[in-house]
Amino acid sequence: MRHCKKKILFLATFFIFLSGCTLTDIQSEIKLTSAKVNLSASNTVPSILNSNWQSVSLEDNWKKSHPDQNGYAWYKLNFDLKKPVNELWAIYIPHVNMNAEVWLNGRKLGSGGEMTGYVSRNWNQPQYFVIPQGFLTLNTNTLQIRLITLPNLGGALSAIHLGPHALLHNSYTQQYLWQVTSALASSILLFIALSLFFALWFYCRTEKFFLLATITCIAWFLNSFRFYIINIEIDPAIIFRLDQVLLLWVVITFTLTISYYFHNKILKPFKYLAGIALMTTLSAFLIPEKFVLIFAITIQILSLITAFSLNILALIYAYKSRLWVDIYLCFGMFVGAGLGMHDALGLSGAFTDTYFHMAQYGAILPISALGWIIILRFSRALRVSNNYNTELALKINEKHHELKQSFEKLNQLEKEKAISAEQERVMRDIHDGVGAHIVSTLAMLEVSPSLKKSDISAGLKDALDELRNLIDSLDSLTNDIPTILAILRERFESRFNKANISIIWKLQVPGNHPKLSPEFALHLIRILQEILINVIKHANATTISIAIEDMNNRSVIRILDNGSGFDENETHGHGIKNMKYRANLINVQLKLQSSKKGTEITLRF
Amino acid sequence: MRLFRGDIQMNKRQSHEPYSVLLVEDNSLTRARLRQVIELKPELYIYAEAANCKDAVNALDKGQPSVMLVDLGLPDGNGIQLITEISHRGYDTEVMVLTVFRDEKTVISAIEAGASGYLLKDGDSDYIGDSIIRLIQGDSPISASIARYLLKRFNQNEKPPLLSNNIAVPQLTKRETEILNYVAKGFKSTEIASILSLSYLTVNTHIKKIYKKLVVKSRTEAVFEAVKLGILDL
Repeated sequence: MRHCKKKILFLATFFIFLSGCTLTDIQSEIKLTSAKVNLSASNTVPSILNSNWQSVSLEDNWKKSHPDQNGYAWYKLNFDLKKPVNELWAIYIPHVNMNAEVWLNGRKLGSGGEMTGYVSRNWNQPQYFVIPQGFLTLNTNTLQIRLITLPNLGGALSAIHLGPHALLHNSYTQQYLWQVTSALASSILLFIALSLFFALWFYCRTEKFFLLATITCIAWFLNSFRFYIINIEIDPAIIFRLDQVLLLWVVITFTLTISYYFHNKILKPFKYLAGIALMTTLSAFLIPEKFVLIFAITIQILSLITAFSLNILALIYAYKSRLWVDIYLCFGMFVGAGLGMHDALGLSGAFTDTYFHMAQYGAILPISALGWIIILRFSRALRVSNNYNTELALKINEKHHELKQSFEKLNQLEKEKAISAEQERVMRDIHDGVGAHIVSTLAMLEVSPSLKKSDISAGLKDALDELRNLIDSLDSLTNDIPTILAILRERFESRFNKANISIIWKLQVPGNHPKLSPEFALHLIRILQEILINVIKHANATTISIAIEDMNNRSVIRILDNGSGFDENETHGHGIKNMKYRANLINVQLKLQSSKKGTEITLRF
Repeated sequence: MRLFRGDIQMNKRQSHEPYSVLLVEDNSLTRARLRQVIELKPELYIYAEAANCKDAVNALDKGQPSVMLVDLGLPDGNGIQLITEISHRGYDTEVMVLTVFRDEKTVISAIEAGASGYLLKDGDSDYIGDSIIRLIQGDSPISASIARYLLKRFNQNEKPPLLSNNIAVPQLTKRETEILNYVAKGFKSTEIASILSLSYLTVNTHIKKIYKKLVVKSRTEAVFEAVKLGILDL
């Protein structure tokens, strides 16, 4: 369905533009369509007697009527005025190629510009000359027009219209608008487009498409000058070659842009295109003059072939993608190519009455299609970068979350490890402490022959003591040295009482004491218990003093009794050895000083 | 609970007749042993024995013992209920909780309910007997662990002074905090008395006051919680 629509549109546009030449009837009173032409290069009109005067009908296209010409021609036209003329009249020549000078009844009316040297290029300018009062006569008037053009390119003169200035002028301005102003407008639009595309590329460097589109616009923009730049201080022959080259570049850049659009990269064959374009450009300025026209026509044909192949590719692409932008692009390309073909046919003389160049319109649709594509791409690029940013932020969040999770997991594992390590420690202690005591008491029951009840009591009491040690060490409030000492005092109070030992308590050290781990606390409790039990059982003391001192930020426990002392070497049992071993374990310096007067034990933390 | 030599001025009640002890303990062997240990002291006698709450309440119906020793783990209820029962009835009975390991939960919850202290079940006759007698005679037993707990408890300033003017959360005075600090470091009431140049009686009274404040505090906090939860409306 869509293809049918497109084809219809294309054909419709083509024919509309084809018939553009008959846009409106020219409001003239006299239309001169036949003349006599003399291909003389002389500055003055050749005499009537000159044998070279030929009859031609206007529009006179030199490529068809005078293929061998040298760039000059004189036209002679006669017309009759039936009635006298009261208002201002004018002459309107819709098309000259390239420049013309007009004389009426021997008096010069005007010209389109320079007739020598750098001839004015008026091939796209309708010519209009107001006839001053008194130039027209009743009955026969003679118009002489000198036409000048580039020798190899052929010239043209359209039919000549005469009529009242008031009416004729409208036709002229209308034609002027369609032919010249439009070209200028399209030039401006192209310039705006190229600036826009360039700006977008500047901010979106990654999109090669934008750069290609800019270059296409530049080529088209430069190409548009020839429609309205009349006077230029460069040899027209060179200008002509430049025009062809520019046309070629327009086609090539557009082809590159579109192929990039289709494939998202420039395919190899198209890269060769650029090479061909460069070579052609070079050769364009090296070709001798007589081959220039053929060269020009070749270029135009090749361009058209390229353009139409591109159109077909675009059609296939749009059919696949079914996007409106692609359909619009196809349509624009068809129109542009159609207009280009129209102009090429006109240049080669296919139409008799056409002097209406339309290529200047050819840029609008394709370039606007490019603009649409660029806008889509730009917004997509923005969206992608936005998405990328949010995606990145999301990813970072995710990673952060993952990291947190794994960190927490690690923490949890560490905690569990610590807890199970602690549980193991406690179990080991129960086994070695209470367990051992109970087992030995059991053994006592089974093994000892002379067993006293008090022995069993003592064994079980020791077991209870061990249990209390462990529990005290695990109590969270019992985690500094003064508290441990206080609790031990409570537990041993009655025993000291029974042994008639009075306690001197010197724990008035203020301030904070470091927190101890349960493991550390248990070792310390056992060390202290051993010390206190020794004092009760062996010391024969009457007082025991327990103090904590603070020396150089280190705590020192000092236990002093006034007993009979002991000799370390003579002790049986493992009590003192165990004490020292435990002190070592917890990095506490244990010092024993014993004499007949008493014993002092210091624990340095 | 603590015994030491050289225990000087105490508020001694005139020892007339032996003091009655209500023994609430579900383990029969332990109960028998305790009975034996207590009865070694001429100043004490077993007023009644109970193996569960019901029997204990029956015993309380019959009269007021001077001391109740209660094990918290009873088959038909918590010993705390019995302690509360005593204060409901307005009895003059001193309560001590029986424990093996004097774990905090047991002891403190008992004191919050109104008990005066704890007794270690495996203590010998002197320890158990003297503790009870001194308790009856007005001593306020306290231990380093209890003191540390009380310091921590009263220093938690989470709850603001309460809704209405009559109800206020009790705070410790400076002196009371000072005394508790010494106790936490292992000092005995008599030692604290001499350090602070107070009489033993004063120190004792402070400790009694501190215990009462604990009771009020825990009750007040319970009310506060109930109001917060919407159970109570003030």
